[in-house]
Amino acid sequence: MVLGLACLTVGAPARAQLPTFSSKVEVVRVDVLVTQSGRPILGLRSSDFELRDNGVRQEIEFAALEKLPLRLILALDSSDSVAGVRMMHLRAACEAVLDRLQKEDEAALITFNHTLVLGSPFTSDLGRVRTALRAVAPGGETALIDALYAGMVLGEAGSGRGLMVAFTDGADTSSFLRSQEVQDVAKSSDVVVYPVTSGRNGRRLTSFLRGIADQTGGRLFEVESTPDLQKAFVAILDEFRQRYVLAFRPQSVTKGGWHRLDVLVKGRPFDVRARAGYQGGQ
Amino acid sequence: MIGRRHVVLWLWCALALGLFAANGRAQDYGAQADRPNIEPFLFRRRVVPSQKFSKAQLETWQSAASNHRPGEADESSREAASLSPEDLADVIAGFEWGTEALPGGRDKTDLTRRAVVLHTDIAVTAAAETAQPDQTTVSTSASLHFGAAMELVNFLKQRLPRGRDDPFILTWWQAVAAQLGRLHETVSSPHFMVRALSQFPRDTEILLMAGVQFEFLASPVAQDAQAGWEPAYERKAEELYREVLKKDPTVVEARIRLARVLGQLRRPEQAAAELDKALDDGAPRSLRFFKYLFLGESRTELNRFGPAREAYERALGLYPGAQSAHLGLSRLERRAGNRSGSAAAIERLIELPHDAQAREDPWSDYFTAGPAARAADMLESLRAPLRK
Repeated sequence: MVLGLACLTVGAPARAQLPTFSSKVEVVRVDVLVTQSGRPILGLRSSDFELRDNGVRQEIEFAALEKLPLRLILALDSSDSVAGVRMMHLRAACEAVLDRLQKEDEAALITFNHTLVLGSPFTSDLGRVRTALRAVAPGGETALIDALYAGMVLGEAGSGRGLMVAFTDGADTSSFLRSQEVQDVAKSSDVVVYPVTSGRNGRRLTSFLRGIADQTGGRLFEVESTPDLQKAFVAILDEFRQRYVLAFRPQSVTKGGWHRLDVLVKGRPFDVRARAGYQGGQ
Repeated sequence: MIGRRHVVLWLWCALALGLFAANGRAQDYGAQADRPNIEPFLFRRRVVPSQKFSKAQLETWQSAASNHRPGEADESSREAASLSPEDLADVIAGFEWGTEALPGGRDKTDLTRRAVVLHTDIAVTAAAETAQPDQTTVSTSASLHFGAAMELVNFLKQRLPRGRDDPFILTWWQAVAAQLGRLHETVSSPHFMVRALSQFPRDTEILLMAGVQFEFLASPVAQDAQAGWEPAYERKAEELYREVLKKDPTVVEARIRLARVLGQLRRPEQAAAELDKALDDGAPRSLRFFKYLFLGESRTELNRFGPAREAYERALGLYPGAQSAHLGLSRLERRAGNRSGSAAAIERLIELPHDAQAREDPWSDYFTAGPAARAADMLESLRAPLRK
């Protein structure tokens, strides 16, 4: 049984020099950002990385930069507080990111107030996403926790690299799921989550979003006000493009349960940002 | 004690003399140890009378209380709302301490009731006007006037033969508790509920509303003000719901809420047991929905995936577009190791039409359903007798 893992198989679409692995073999994929003083380090190879799964060193079969198509999920707060000029800034930020996507990339749009709405499913027809963006009409309350959950679950499907940019400008006021449940899902999600907030937010919200970002290997962006959103969204995409994708087949570790991951660059004091671990199959 | 009585008597005399001599000028009613003050709901500060007040201002306020049309935003309520916190504290202090006959031979008890309604109406209007979707405190103005009304209710209680057992007093506490619940108020409501419970420890309506408030305070909406206190609030809610059920085991709502709280407290077995008891096919649709929704949750926690799935499906049978049940189902499938099933549940949800009817989900109103939904009726029962 293959569970909770990104499985790259022979049958996957052969776009953008997709690496292939034999069918029905678990392959764990890890998105890794390597920086020094905040600047990305490029040009690394598989042999430069050291990866441990529950403390057991693993053989990295694949390490590449920008080789896999991207599956971008825009999860946008469309509650009452985003109405007016904030929505305009948010649309502009999304447009800027869509403009920078490549031909093989796909994007999806989810909006959330107290209800989750699929603006556009994953598609490489970005015009469809843009049309959906223009149709967003803010109003209602905010179910942020539910939206992050839905975004992670949906983003896992497919073989590209899942990136979720989730924007909110305030408090969760109507989610059903508990924040802890969603943190647990983040631990086993293949989607890298970059939450973006604007304005002053409470400690609990910030801590929750930072937790989600840390678990998935993303980063929390806190902007002062919505005119800064465009810069933040573009920075996220740029940063994501400079991440490596490592892939390995777990060896000498028990299959199930929580697997802690430790990734470093051999012999170099670089900062390495990757998901905290993954949930193994049974 | 005798010394204190003497002081109070002296102060009363001083106040009476002051009022007698005032004739429209600023009055000094001395430094009474027990002088009334207004404790706004936000509890940021106490509004203490300045010890000076204008007799003209007091008369204007009395006239506003007397002429206010209950439930309306009229000239009288605008007049009273324009008073500064200090002036308001002063006129209420002057009113409570005053011994002069009221204009037109009005009965002081009746006028106090009217003043309670006047300030409650101002607070309700201010809270409604300033309400924001993400707001969890009432506005300063609402807070001040709820506080003024509370001060007057306490004063009234002392004048009524039945004291706190007078229906007006109980209805006021119930109505304001319900109103705070409806407003998603988080800052002052715990203090208010503690006071309400201390006055009416056996009233099932107050117990239930307090339970809902404490349950709400543990929800994500309450945010930072309450961070870290969630289990304490949930345990308090559990205690209150159990108390309701002890007094009246037929209150299905209390049992369902108790079950949810038990689930939040990681006691799914107890939650499921309560929900099994709560089976009542004659209960309103939304309550039946909650029963199955929370049954789905607790059974998921117990890894009883088949029965959990069945519970969620029953919930969806009642409200096919309910986001909460779809999310619960997705979480169940994920926990059961079925990632594609988990994603399918989310896909089913987000592809639903997003008009309000297709997406009707009782969860949206979970914290404002029940007694809070009856806030308007309760306020009306407070006002109606004064219209006669």
